Amino acid sequence: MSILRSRQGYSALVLPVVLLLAWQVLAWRASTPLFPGPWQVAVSIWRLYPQIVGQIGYTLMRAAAGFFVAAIVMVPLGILLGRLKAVGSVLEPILDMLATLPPPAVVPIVMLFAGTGDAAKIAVIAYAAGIPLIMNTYEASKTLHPMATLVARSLRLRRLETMVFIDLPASLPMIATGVRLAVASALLVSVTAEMLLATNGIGVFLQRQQENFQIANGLAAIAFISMVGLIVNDLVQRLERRLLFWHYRSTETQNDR
Amino acid sequence: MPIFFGRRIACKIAAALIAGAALVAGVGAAGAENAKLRFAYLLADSDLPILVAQKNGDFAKAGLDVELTEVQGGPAVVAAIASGSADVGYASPVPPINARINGINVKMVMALGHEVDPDKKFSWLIASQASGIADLAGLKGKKVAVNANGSLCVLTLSDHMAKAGLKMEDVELVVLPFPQQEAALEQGAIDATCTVNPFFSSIAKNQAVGVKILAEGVLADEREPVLNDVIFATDDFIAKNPDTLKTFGKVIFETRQKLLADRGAMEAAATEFLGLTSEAAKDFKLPVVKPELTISEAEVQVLLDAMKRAGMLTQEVPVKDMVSNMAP
Amino acid sequence: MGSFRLLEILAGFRAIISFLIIIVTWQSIASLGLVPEKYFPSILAIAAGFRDMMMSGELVSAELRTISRALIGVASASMLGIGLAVLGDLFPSFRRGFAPIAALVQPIPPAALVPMAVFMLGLGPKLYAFIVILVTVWPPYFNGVAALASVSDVQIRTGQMLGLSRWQILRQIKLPAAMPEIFAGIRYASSISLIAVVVAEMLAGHDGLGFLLIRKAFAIRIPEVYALMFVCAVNGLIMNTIVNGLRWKFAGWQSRMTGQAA
Repeated sequence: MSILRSRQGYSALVLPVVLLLAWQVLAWRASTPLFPGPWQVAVSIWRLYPQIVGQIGYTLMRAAAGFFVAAIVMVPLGILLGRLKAVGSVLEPILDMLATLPPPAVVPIVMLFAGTGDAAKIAVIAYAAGIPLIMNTYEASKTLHPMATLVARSLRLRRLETMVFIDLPASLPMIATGVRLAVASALLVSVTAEMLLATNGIGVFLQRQQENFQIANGLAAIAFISMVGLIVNDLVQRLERRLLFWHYRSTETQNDR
Repeated sequence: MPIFFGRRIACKIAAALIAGAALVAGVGAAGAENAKLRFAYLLADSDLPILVAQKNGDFAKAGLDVELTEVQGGPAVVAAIASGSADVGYASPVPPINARINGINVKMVMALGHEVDPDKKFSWLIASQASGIADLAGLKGKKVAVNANGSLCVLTLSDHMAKAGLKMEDVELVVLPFPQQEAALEQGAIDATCTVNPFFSSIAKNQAVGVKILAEGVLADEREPVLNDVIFATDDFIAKNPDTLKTFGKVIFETRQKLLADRGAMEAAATEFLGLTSEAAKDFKLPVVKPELTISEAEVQVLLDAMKRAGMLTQEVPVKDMVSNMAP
Repeated sequence: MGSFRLLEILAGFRAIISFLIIIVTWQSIASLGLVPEKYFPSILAIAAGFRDMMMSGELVSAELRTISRALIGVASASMLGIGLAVLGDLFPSFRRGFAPIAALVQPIPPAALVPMAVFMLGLGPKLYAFIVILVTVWPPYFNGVAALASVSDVQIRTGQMLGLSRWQILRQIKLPAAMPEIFAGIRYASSISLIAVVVAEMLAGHDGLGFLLIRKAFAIRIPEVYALMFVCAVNGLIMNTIVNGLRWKFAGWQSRMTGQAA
């Protein structure tokens, strides 16, 4: 079994390595600073990593702040809307409309109310992270198993108590999906927001490199963004598995993702 | 339902992949006809003669097939040329200089606009009344906006601040596109900014901002005309199509002379092509100091020196590699 | 099919209500006067801006370009995503090799890629195809992989018992079973693709809604900028209606069986 595993491990490396080599060959053939290969990008990473790591710190802090603001506002709101079905179903298209506003169009409006500082960027991030959160929470609490409501009624829980003790835990698995999407979009949008209302952060660094035609440095920054995204997504999934162990235990017998 | 993904799934996936590949492979190189000229530009006052000439068919009459592509910002113009989507471009001199320094083979071939003392000035450093900034020295520690990194605005700010004994690190720099700056000034989100028209004239009229002009012009020293807008092209295109470039310049020159002589036509064109309201068009001015389009190494050297003082030059490239005068 | 018509009408009605709510909220904020009207114009001013752009024809042509780019983008990204998921299902080593690539590429924001992509791909359709596909392919792919993997063993064994080949099991059992979850991914992808198209048009385009937005902003025509934003919002609804209609066609069995509205 373990031999099989390791052989599969190697075979998994084939595709990425082939792609990297293909990229390097294309870059050699293009031989222009505008199309750097993985080697030049690696050199840029080596030269610039202290600077990049420092800038990405600002970005992560903003992304985290935006995400938590979104979670605090949107999860309760989603549960509430899911409970008040009539209101929820009427308001659903509003979410669809707000979901397709591009951040570069939202930023100028936010700036009017919140200026160009951290508050504005956090507001934009919270907006972007809030959409998947509220959509999933709403969907989860709307499609709650009817049994759960009956249990609540037999326990004589009040409305608020029902929402906290029954609806919230029962919706958690689906909220977790929303959390994963929200974390991803918080990271994505924090970079974009920094590029549009720039003071510091990896978005600013990236933009400065691009506007000065330092493509390899820009790709180095992008490589760091990817790595951070990968790590954060992985952490969120681990956390989710740990916190929602009861859910995974009950579904694990059915399938193994 | 299973019919859709039934028998024909292989075909569908194959078709999708082929379609994707076709999209990626996309447009090949266009035919290399001599009279063809693909022009990338960012929308600005200096373009007006080019846009008017295109609409009136003046280029076609001169035997040119000009194709216009508008993009956002100077770096994007360079990108369009470097990627082969365009042959010739218009921007401020900073992006082509930056491009050359970083190994992109473009040269400036014509000058479209200059500034000079005392009153031919087309860029401004301004502060809001609420910021309490009275002069350049007052910028210290304040929030100052520029429209983009590596832009003419950065040069403007650093050159004037240097005169007042300040460095770039002395201000809190915010990158904010021109259209957002007026609102940001009025709402107190920024204290000062570098601006151009039509935004400057709009801000100047806004009582709520109460604009304070800190400096005029790109460089602090503009006793001699300072280069403001340029046309540039790839080395390859310059070598192969000198006549096309010269004809292009000639048509621009003639159209510009006509516009300068006819205020009504100028305002109409500003409304039509720059999207200005007819009110804003009344303040419209072309940044023309020298009637001819000639570009000289000396005037580029002035900018290079200023960029060097501002710390915007990462390495030195001789000025002769940057300029190749193609003016008619 | 009749119930679908009714739902469609209801959904259209809900959309109008939602739109009205947004308009009323906007107008109330505008009337509060927190921000000068010049920067946060009234609904009337925005409507006038909308009318002007309709009259000049620029809005219609920009809208058609943006919507068709987004539709082509989401369609090809979905096909590609499903295709990759199927490949991964047939060849596990491909899936394992592709997983780290997917995980690394997914967190890159389109705004970060556009300037560099322009250098490599120019300003034409290649650029849009690259940007839109790169950001929209992931939801259909991830949902596809997860859904194909979680098709119940009972169904697969039934297929094996009936003597179906691996390929037949895939196309006749697994894919139909995975369709609802894949469509959830496509629905999410459709809003991302609209955003990606508009962002690409803003940063490197020469037509479409994103380009028009920047152009109006640079001409200091603020009401028209906001009118364009309302158009972007309504596009979200249009995309959603199209995707929901397709979902009903291709994955409707699930909704019909569980009695839930799509």
